[in-house]
This record gives sequence, C-alpha cells and structure tokens, in this order.
Amino acid sequence: MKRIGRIVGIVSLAGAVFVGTSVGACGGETENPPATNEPDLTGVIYTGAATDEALEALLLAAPKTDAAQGVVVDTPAAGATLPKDVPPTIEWHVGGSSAAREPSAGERFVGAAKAIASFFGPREAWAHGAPVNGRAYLLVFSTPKSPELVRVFTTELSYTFDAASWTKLALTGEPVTLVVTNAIFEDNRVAQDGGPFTGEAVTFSIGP
Amino acid sequence: MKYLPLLPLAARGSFAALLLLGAFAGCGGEGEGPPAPVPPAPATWDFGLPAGYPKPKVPADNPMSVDKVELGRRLFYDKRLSGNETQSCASCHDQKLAFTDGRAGGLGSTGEVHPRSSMSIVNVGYLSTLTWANPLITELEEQALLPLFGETPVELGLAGKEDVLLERLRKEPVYEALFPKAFPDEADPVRLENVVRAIGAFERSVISYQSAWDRYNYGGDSKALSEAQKRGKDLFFSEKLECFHCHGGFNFSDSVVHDGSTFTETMFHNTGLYNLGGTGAYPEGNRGVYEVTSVTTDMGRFRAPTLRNITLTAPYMHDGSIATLSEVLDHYAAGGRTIADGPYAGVGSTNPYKSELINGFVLTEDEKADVLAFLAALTDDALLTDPRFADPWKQDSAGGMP
Repeated sequence: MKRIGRIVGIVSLAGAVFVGTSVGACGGETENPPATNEPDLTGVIYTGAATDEALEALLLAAPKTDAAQGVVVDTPAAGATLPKDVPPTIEWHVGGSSAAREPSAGERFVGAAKAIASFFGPREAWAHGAPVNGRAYLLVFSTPKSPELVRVFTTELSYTFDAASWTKLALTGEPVTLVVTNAIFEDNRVAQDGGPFTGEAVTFSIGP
Repeated sequence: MKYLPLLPLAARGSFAALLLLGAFAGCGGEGEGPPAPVPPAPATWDFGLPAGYPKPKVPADNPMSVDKVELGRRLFYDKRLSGNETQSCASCHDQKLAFTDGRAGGLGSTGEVHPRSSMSIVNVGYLSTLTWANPLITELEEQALLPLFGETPVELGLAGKEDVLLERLRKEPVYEALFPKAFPDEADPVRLENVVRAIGAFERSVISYQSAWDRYNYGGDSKALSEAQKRGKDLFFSEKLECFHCHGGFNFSDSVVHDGSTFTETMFHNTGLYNLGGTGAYPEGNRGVYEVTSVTTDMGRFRAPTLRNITLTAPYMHDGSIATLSEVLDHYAAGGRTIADGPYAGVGSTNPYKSELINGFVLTEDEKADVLAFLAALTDDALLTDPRFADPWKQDSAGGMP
C-alpha cells in the first residue's frame, strides 16, 4: 500500500508541475516577439585571434573613457592623406603603454609584406578557436555619409587593409574617421575592469 | 615547499587534531576582565594588478592584509620551519628560478628526494587544485601543511615537532610583533593554523603580470614582442599545436579559479610521457591522479602547470624527466615519449589513457625556434627580483627593503 501511495503521489506531483510550467510558459508570449539585443556583426573583418564571441561581448558592454586604457593611433597621423592605390597599415598602442616610437626597418618590412598578402583578401569570420584572453581592438572606419563602413576586430596591434576594403573606403571620396575601441577579455568575456575603452578619433583623407 | 600526493592517514589525523586544539586555544580567556582596546583595522591588501587582470580568489576565513602577507613572507623564508632548521619553503622555491629549485625532484631537509619536481608558486593563488595531481587539495592553507609535516617523503620534517616550531616562533621578536598585527582579533595568534594562513596569504600575493607577453597582450605595447615571438604566439595558439587547450587563458593553465569566476575548471592530462610495457602504466608511486582515485583512466593524469616563467623552471614535466623546453616540444611533436629500454621502456604515444589532444605535429626548425621565443616572452624578469617577494631576513641584514 505504501508503494502504491508513493506512486500516486509522484504522478500527482508530476502532473501539477507539468500544468504549472505549461501555464507559466504560455503567459504573454504570443503578443510580442522575443526581444533580441544581439549586435550586428555583419561584414566585420577578423584578424589575429579575434573571435565573434568576444566582439559580441564588447559591443554589449557599456564603453568607458580612460585615457590610459584608450588606444592612440600611431599611423596614419591625424590629417594625413594616404595614397588610394596602396592599402595602408594602421598601427596603434594603448595610451598607458610605452610603445609609441618609430617602427624599425624590420617592422616596416613586415608591414610591407602584410600589404602584399592583403591582396589575397580578408578573413570575414573567425570563431570557436582559442578564446580571446587579453586585449582585442575594434577599428571602426566611418565617413560622413557612411558610418561604420569598415569594421575590423583584431587581437593584433596593427592592421593592413586588404585591397577590397581599402577600395571601399577610397571610393567614397570623403574623409575617413577611425575610432578604436578596445577591451580586455578573459575567455571571450569582457574582464572585470576590462573596459571597453574608447580611444580618440583620428580623421585622415585618401588621395585621388 | 614541495607537494605530496597524500599524507598518511595518521599524519592527517594529527593535523586535524592540532587545528582543533589551536581553534580552542584561540578562544580561551575571552569575556573576562576589562575590554581590550580595539586594535586598528589591518591595512587591506592591494594586489596592484593592471586593468582587466583577474584577482586571486581569497578565502573568506583568511582575508589578505599587509601585515599578514609580510608575516607569511617571513615564515616562507624562515629555516626554523624545518625540523632540523636547515630548510625553509624557499629552499625549494627560489625566487630567481621563478620559485622552483632547478631539480628533477625536490630535496627534503633530511636528504630525502621527492618523486616530483617543486612547482612554482607564481600565480598559485589562481589554481583550482594544488600539487601535481591531487584534485582534493584546493586551498593554499591546507596545502602548506603537507611540506611542513609530510613524512612520505620528509620535506621540512616538522611532524611531531609542532610545539617546538611554535616555541621557536614565539622567541622571535619580529614574530612577537607581527602575529598580533596579522591576526588582531586573537589573544594568542601564534598558532599553527595562523602559520599556514600567513604563508597562504604571501603565496597568493606572488603574481606574475609583467612579462613581455603581458606588456603586449594586456598592456597594448606593440613593441613588446619580437617578430619571432609573434610568430611563435600564432603557432602556440593554433589548432596545429593545440598547446592553448591545456595551457590557455591568462595563466596558461586550464585549472584556474579567480575572484568573480563563476565556473571552476579542474583538469588533469596524460601526455603520453610513459607507457610501461604497453599497459598505459606510469612509474610506481608517480602515477598522477590514479594515486588518489585508483581509477584506471586516471593513470598518468597530471595538472597542466602554468607556462609563465617556463624558461626558468627546468627540468620539465612532473618528474623533471625532460631537461629542456626544446625536448618538451619534441615530446609533444611525437605525440608522446618513446623510451627504448630500461625499467620505463614503452611507447608513450600509444598510451591508452593519453589525452586526445596529444596527437603530434610537425614543426620546422624555424617554427620551433619561434615557439621557444614565444615561451621566453612569458618570463617576468621584474618578479625575479621584486623586493616584495624576496627574503626579508636578508633585507633586514642589508638595512631593509630597497
């Protein structure tokens, strides 16, 4: 008898739980579609060990202003005019680091090699490899008429344009503004006190 | 201070009894006489870490303070913490070797050689399990008891000499002042429990965050790594080499916990270092997690240590059986080590309990040099001479901390 009683009790409890969860699950979901706050990652170029998971985390976090943690763009300089036919290398460092100095001959050679390699095209998706640990940088290139025309997410401290992306910017005929936002990640998540930190904007032109 | 897989039950029982006695002793005498003056609150501890670098998880019953860390540092470097007063924790954890000793097996105070090499204490506050292969030891305060009182083998050799140790400490004027500062709420703070608490607090303060890699990866200093190191970094984090799966994250280890972390990872791996007679076995007495669990699939599983300062911590692997980092890369490139003859003969790459991540790879000599260059970028030179982690007794005789 005890066994039968236990079975009846279990079946009753299961039924009650089922009804309860079903009612709860139905409530109010038919009127509005589920809200989504997933950022738009379309067209982002990934380099280095950057991942889309980390970028999503960066875009969902509220940016902070901290000059020591913000990025300083080394090249191009503000107000510079860059040649249209040569995809340039963008270089930067974090404000608080001691990295600002002229590149060595070897580093210039590597930059040139990257420029040549860039003609083979960008990597347009990168995910599910090693998670990002440390800093990663979102470069956003905008023109007055075309905000966020090119976006690059990278764990490196330089980026050499591919020909197609550079042409896209050059064809606008407008001045280009670059803003680099960086964050410090732990396993693709923005770390505690890890930003994101917005750097100062740099505007440059592309020659005819 | 070295690491033991497990203490004999009898020894562990005596530790527990000691801690209980200590706890009761600490409670004695309260509520009698006039209220004691309220001591000043201990100065809180600042890890001084850069933005975004995780902070160690600090146990609620052992909060960090400046005085406690200083006390722990004193104890760490104090030879009175060995039975025959010949060794301190620092004897096997030398700052200039990233707190290791350069030996294949640690050498105890009575001359016994430990079957495993002394692990670095750098960033030990981030580890989710301590020692090479014991998933049960998770707190530094608990682990510190092992080298102090362990008998298989004898390390610092204090088993049965607990009262002698406390008596030695009570006679030292520095401790007479420091123990009450570190444990201001206690009437008689010179207790074994507080000794290991202070050592744990000091160990938790030893953090590496100033290597070239850190300056590049966390500091955003584009010039911190050479081109060879950058190429090595790309190889290290590639699926070709798979290194990052076990040696990833900020601490280059996959068994990590820190302040604010929501998920504690605890991993152990068989890397195909041995395969005695083709059975999958590792040498007796040094069989990894199997020594604790007796589960066959735990044979040869050890924790992946941090790679920070790895160029300084030779010889390598749990038993120091590989002399150089170059040979370590050869071992992983082969997917396991082959020992042609002798008592340990066997083909490690066919060990049935080997991690599925150890499959071998091909590296050119240039690529190998790049990976080695990257590993050298993990050396934190500042830590090796940081006066906060140096021998305070020597600093005293030299006129104090510089």
